[in-house]
Amino acid sequence: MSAALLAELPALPLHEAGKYVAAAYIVLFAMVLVYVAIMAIRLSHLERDLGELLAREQADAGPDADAETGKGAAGGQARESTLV
Amino acid sequence: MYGKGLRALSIATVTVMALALALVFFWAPLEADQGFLQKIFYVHVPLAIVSLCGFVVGGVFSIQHLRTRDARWDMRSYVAIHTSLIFGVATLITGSIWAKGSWGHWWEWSEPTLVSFLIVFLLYATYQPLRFAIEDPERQARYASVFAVTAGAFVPLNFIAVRASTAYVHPRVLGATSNLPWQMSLTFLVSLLGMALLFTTLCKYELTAKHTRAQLRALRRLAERRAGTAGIASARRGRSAAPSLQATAMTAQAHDGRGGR
Amino acid sequence: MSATAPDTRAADGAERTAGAGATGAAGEAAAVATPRRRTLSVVRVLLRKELLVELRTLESVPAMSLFAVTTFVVFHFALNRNTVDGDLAAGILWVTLLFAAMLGVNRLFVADADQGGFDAFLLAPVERSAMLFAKAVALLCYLVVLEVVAVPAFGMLLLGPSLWHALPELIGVLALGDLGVAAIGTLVAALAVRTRARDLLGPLLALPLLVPIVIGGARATSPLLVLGHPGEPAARWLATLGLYDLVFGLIAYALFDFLLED
Repeated sequence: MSAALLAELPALPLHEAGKYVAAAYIVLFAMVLVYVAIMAIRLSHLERDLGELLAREQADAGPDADAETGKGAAGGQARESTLV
Repeated sequence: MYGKGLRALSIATVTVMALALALVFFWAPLEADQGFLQKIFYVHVPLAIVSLCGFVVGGVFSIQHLRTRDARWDMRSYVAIHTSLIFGVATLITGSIWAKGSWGHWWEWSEPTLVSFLIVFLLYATYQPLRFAIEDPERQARYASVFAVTAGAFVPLNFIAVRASTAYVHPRVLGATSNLPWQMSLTFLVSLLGMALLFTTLCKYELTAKHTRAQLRALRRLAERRAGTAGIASARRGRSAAPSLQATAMTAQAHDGRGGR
Repeated sequence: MSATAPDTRAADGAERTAGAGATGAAGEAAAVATPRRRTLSVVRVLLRKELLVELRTLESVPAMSLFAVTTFVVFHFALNRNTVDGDLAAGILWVTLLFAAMLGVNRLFVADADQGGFDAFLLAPVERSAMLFAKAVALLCYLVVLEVVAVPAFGMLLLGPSLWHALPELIGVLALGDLGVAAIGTLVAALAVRTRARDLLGPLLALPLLVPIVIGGARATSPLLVLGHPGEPAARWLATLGLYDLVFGLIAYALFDFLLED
């Protein structure tokens, strides 16, 4: 019965019409992908800037930083495990 | 917190879009006249509708901005218009592909959706240059809001005017949403919902990113003030077309109660 | 050069005193009792100033008219036609009028922006939309003068069928279109004038917004310019024009104040 059903369903036609339909859906896909790419670039900039800020703050904190960074590193590891 | 509902929203978007695609390609019946080519209808028309609504929504946000002078409304308006413009370009491209497949040429003047979108695109393409041409951020936001309200009112009127001017030339083929068999209607509605969710997700994503950047800037300013080195090596962004937020603890909390866009 | 310099200085002087005069007169007019009458008299004062300045400096209207006539000549060569009629005639007429109007729109607020007219106006205790009305009516007057020159020129140079029979309806259609162009043109001019690229942004913003007016105007005009038996403009297009004028007139009125605060 399923074989009969499969025979009924049309295979994706790859002649003329199929190319246009594929192109249209690819436009949508590309739009979302480009958006993701732009957001990814922004995120990496954000991470870099945040890293600079953190580095500057830790440098300013001076001798206390040794005690702080111990806690900070542990906190960082705990955070990373939740990120998955 | 702009990012509050973002995860749920994106999951919903993926689910509905996947369902829509499945319905389009595996369930919706083939149309008698156009055959397989008609499947573009399920991506082109939702893009058009969501884009038009997005422009109008951007205008509504701008009205709020002019009424309350809260810069967050201007930010929302900017993001809505900017995302709608992208969806509008996608509408034009998919419509053009459909025209080429149907009639053999890349443009069709008798298709009111395409024509009115071209005009709307030409109008909103001036939005960013307008913002960029005004340096004072408060005035930039205010003038942009005036533009957004005018243009938001223009969009439906323009659509009606163009449709009236082409109505008696050719029967509308591309955008026909009436007299559809119920399977096609359902597929169309699911696609429309998916597209609307996609629009909302992308807007929320961008708002969250902008807000995060604003929080970073505020943090940097605080750090510099504490170190007594205000203004040192702070990357001065030049003139910008995008509105920037003054992030405070208030902006972070103000959204928790809303959970919306 | 030296011959024109005294003219421009006199014109500047006229504008400055006219600007100051407007504030003084506006202040006096403000002393009148009811707000409605106050606004109307302010509008009248401002309009008078606008028209006086234009009469003395002649910077908008002659340029607009000359541009229109020159464009007709260009169209003759570009289309390689001696006469046009019907849709083509309506299109050429409306496009030319529209682009000539853009010249006027560009110049509308320039004097105020450059010479502090905005600040002077903001100091006066009057309703700000008075400036909108005054500028819009001034632009409307410029458009009327433009059409008085351009439409007969079109009739002589390019139009095949006679202009005379279609004239009353043509005037009506042009009037409806002019109202829309004046409302949108004033709003866009105020928006564009205090940006960096004011000459570019003005037309770029205005032209898409004016497309429905071109649609309504050209469709309504084309049966009037048909060879042989000219028809009547379809009511649908007149309604489109009227509705569009009304909506954008209201929008301009609602939004203008926001452009003027500073």
